[in-house]
Amino acid sequence: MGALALATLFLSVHEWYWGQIQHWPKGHDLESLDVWADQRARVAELSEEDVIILGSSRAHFNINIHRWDSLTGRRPLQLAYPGSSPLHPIEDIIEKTDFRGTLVIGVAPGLFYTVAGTWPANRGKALVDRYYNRTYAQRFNQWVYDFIDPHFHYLNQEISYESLIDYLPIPNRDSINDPDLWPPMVRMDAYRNIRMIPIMENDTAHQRKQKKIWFNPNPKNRAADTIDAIMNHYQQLFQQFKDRGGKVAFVNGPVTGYYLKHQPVLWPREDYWDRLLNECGCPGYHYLDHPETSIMEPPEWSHLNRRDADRFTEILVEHLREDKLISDAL
Amino acid sequence: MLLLASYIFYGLWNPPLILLLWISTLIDWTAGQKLAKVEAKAKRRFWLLLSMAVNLGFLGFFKYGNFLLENFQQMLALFGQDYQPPKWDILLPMGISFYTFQTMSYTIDLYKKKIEPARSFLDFSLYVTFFPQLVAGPIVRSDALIPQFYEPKRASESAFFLGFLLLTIGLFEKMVFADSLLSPVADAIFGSKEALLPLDAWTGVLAFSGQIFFDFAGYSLCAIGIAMMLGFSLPDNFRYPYGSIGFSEFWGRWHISLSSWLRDYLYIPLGGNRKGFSRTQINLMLTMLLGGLWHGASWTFVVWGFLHGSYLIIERLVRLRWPVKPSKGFIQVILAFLTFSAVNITWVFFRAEDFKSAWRLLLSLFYLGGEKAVLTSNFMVLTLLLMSLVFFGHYAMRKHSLVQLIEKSPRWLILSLWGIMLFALFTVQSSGEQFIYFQF
Repeated sequence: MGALALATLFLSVHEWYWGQIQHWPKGHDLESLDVWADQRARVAELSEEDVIILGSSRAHFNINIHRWDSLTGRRPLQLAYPGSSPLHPIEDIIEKTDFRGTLVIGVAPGLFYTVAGTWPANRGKALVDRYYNRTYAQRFNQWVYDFIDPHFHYLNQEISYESLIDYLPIPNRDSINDPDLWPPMVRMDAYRNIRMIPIMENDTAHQRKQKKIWFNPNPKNRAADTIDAIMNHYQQLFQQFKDRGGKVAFVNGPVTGYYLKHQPVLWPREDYWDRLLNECGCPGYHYLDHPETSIMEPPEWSHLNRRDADRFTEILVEHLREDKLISDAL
Repeated sequence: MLLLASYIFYGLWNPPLILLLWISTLIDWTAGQKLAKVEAKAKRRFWLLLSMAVNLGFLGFFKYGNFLLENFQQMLALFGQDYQPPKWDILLPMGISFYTFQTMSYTIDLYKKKIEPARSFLDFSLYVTFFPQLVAGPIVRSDALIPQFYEPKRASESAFFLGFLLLTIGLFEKMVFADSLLSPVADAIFGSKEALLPLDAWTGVLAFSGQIFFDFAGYSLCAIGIAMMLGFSLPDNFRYPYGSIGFSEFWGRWHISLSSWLRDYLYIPLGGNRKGFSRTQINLMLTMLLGGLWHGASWTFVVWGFLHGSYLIIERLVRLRWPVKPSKGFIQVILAFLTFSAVNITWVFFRAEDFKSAWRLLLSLFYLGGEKAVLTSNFMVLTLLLMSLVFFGHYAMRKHSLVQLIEKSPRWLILSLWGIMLFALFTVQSSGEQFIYFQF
């Protein structure tokens, strides 16, 4: 009992420290494979009126599924996942389910245009593998986690010991880059809806930490040599999906700073975005094509704050309605 | 109740594979009953062989099926035959190497009339499936466990709390040391596609050395602790192996239940040391080669076994030439360090995915071609610090046991350390890696 009391005392201090001093929000883990798998498991319940969102972090941040729900009466399934290519999740939905609704696919070029075996694709594959390979013990564990995870910092994977070791101030050798120290950024709920936290929206020092992580002095287009194969593969997949009655829409979200400088150079719009839409025969919504979204400024160059994410969602829903890709619930 | 809990425990991983447990239980129970009653030699041999054929058959199919097929394919290719075998997608049942060895020991001991058969089918079923040690040992002999099932058990208050403390220590070793600190270092080094600087290579190998110890010894402590909380007693599986002076001592301290199983059911039946010098060395090597293969269906594991077999043979030769035991503490520490270093080199083959990677890492260890640095200073310093503590800690604890140490230490100290470990377990947020030995 004495040991448990001591542990509880330490734990209370720990909770206070990470909440008040470090500003970490309580919520479900942003990168939890199990929370993703729980949502993936719901695909079987969806009708042809429903929407699934796939993509990477921009589709995850910029689309508020609860706002979408309030506008249409239907809440989309959020399956976009940070730092990943949607390649394998798209294959999974199209080839292994009979879903015939609408796929809204976020196109962050550095992650979307990728082939199997690369790290962005492997992160997406890990999600799909988790969904199919979960043991009953892992499902039970996640069921318990769903109840307690949003209430405690000590369950937050982003402040695991493995991550915290990176914070020790021991200088590295010249050839070793200092590890990325990710600042807290979002709060995610059980539906995987995420909202940027106030400190990231308002604190420029905090934003600078994140910008430092995004900045890469030598950005590359890993898909340059394989783009024909990538386009061909996506074209075949989406054709298969449309043949069974499904609908597809692509979304390209606002960026500024570093991304605005490099994206148009590395992935010229006509060679990538326009080609994707043409070859797949699907509509797409590029932020530069709408006056309101074209001037949105993500606080850390890549993801929208809460107000802009809500507005971005509203504009996207309007476009999808106009193009008859979604319908409102009666 | 315990039997039902054990089946639920196993089923939470993969329910259909409980069937294998049932078949193994049924066959070995039947064989055991027959061996206890039948006197005719031929019939006794039949029942023993049936039990072994079923258990080794399961192991052969599930664990070594693909390995055998790949080697068959490669052998045909040597003769110019292009054989493309059908692709098998065989799931390795968790802990199959442990429960098959455990049940085989039961029928072999009955065949040799060393033990009495279990009194009831339920007692025997629980022996096969007792959940604390089902998936990763210790491999417990039937005479040490089955009699404990005959009477209802209830742990005393002190045994319950000691068991809980051992469980905490085991989980702490696994989640804090193995998963959070050492696993990322070992993964970075063994996953590197380039030759490395010796400092990085040694740190990575030491990290794996620590990872596998904390992972497996941690599991064993959890099993012993849970059993103790339920009123049962399981034998030690690790006794500070990295403080060993020499390799025979190492194998008396590392995975004790497997090494004693291999000694009793393989080395001694092969003739042990009773058939002359040369035959002893051959028996030793054969035992270690098969011990290596037990760990996994890959030639790298066989090389790991070969290295340990070679170490044991060299040690015997050295002891024959210089039979004096070193008495000075300083020399003993140096010998223990040499043993620890040599054991670390074997882990390269145990962990590497293939010979190419193993060879690249071996060259890196001895500064033969590597220039690349991969580890951050934080992980490197913590790993080296922890593994130094492990080495000196194991050396210092060679003649002591953990339970003795707990019982001798002041209560406030134990409670404080226990509280810190519990806090660490709450906050560690390990990614939930499964125990390495589950796959064996």
